[in-house]
Amino acid sequence: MPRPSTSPLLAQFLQTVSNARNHQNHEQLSRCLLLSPASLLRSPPMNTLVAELRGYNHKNSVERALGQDWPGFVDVIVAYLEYVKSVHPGVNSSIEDMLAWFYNLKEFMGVLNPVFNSVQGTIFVSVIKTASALFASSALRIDALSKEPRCPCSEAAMNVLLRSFNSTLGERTIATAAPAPTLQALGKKAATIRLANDLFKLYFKMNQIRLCATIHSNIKTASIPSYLYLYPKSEQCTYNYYHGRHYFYADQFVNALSTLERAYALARPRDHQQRKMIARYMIAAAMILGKFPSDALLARPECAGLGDMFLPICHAIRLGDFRGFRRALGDEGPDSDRKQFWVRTELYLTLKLRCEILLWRGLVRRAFLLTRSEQTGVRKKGPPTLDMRHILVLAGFLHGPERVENPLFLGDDEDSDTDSNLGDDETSYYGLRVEMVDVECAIISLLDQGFIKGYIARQSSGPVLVLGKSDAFPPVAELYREERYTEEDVMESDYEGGPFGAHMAPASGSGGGNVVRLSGVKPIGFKG
Amino acid sequence: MSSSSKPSKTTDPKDSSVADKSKEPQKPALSLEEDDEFEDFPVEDWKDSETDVQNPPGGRLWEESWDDDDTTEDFSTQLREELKKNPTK
Repeated sequence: MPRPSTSPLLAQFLQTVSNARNHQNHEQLSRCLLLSPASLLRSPPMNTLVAELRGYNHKNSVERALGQDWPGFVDVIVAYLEYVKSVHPGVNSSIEDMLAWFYNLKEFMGVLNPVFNSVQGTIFVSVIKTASALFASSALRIDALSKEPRCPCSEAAMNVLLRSFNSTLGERTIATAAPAPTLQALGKKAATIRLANDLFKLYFKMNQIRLCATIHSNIKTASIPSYLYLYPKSEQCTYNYYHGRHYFYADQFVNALSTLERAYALARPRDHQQRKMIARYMIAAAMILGKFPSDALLARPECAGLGDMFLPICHAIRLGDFRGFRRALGDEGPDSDRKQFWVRTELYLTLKLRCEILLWRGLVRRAFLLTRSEQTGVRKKGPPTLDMRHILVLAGFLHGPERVENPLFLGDDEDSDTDSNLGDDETSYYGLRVEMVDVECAIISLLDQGFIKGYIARQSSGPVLVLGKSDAFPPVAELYREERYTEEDVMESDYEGGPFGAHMAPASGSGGGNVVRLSGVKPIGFKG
Repeated sequence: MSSSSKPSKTTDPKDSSVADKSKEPQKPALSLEEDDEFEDFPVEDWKDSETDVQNPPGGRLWEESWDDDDTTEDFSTQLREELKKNPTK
């Protein structure tokens, strides 16, 4: 007796798929097309269907059931059933099994992508979202387990998902024309942010953060930021997190802070893990802009441990304590785990570069506080002054290794046998003799960037910093008030990082000051 | 000059405290695990009322006036010593 043309369960499955298509119900279609091995293996109907399909070429059945008006749709369903047939309980039992499963999913995506890209492809928008999440997280997991340095799964995922992402933007939508725009009205763009977030995850993991710029710029071109509120909060929050991190990477700290603050506010108080991740970079950006984390913030459960890391830096900045700062970064001192933390979180270099100007400000201010009483003793008319030789003495003291007893630091540094890693620390004066020209550079940077109000007067005894009569040291946060300070949104910039990049002064739009070095100190380290 | 904001109650950021923490048993002072992935949220969406967007948290996030005029603490004392040892005139 000839085999029935279509097995009963397959017929039922195809009927449901067809209904979803006819009603343009992309969510229902997504519910039909389960993808994760866990969901498939847990579903008795799917298990039965797979059993029915074994050794059975389902292509004709699918074509017959779904018609010929849209061959692409048929291709996807045929490919889907191929994929489903390949899923077995042992998919996670070895790296080889995982890889085989991954490549089967990739095959399916390879059929799905061009069909999604077609005009009618909107029906697959929910399937794409689910597939994206599964594909990205699996790629990262398998690469981590296989310890394959080239990360082939992540590479593959990046390429596949980028195609999907581009497809979402190709469609014209009239979202804003509706009386109240809805996510439904966005068509394929309903998947854009999910795809973007999965791509960011991959790019950050693969250390290809530059690639985020294109994604952001495409999203901006599509005006999505103006209706980001339509997307689920989880997607909005995640998007703002990665966007904020990218701003941070590009040294745009004002933008980084406002974006990360938005991400933080969008997360629920119970979302500790996400809030913790956001808080790390949010606090770093804020500190660079002269805002210290409040006790209230640090007391929150998700910020546990962050106070221990950040407060010593705040303290060092407040005092102008270069040595304390090196300890806080773990460059010297008993706590070597600190450096590991800063390096792992990719904050080490940025904090080191960007806090330096704040440390100089603190030191100059402290030198002024310590020496101004001398001035009142002398008949003193006119503005307050600070002999820069005092700053030189203190800077030399703080930039050298901690001395037990050696009154004449200058001249001894070449011979000093310190237990510190001078070689590691390429980006500061540590271990080098600080000269007056270094102090002048720092003062000029501070004056130029508005950290100090005053000017340098040349006197026969040496340079003297003449300070403004009132408020010579405006609060750092004042300098970055958003009304006075706008950052260009240069996401596509080929900014390389480092103090000799484009961002020499705040006016060029970056937020975060810099010490401009003119003397012959060691070359500054590179970023990344 | 602006006075400092209320001093931290939760952590004494001075050097001695950092050094003390290093004397704690093997586990590093950091309570932060090796956790560098931004995890997926357990749910896809939630109401505006569950966020802080419309309900600003009690207590500000940032302190902007943190300059400190106190020169009686250890650090300033060390600096003063240093200046004494290196008179400029």
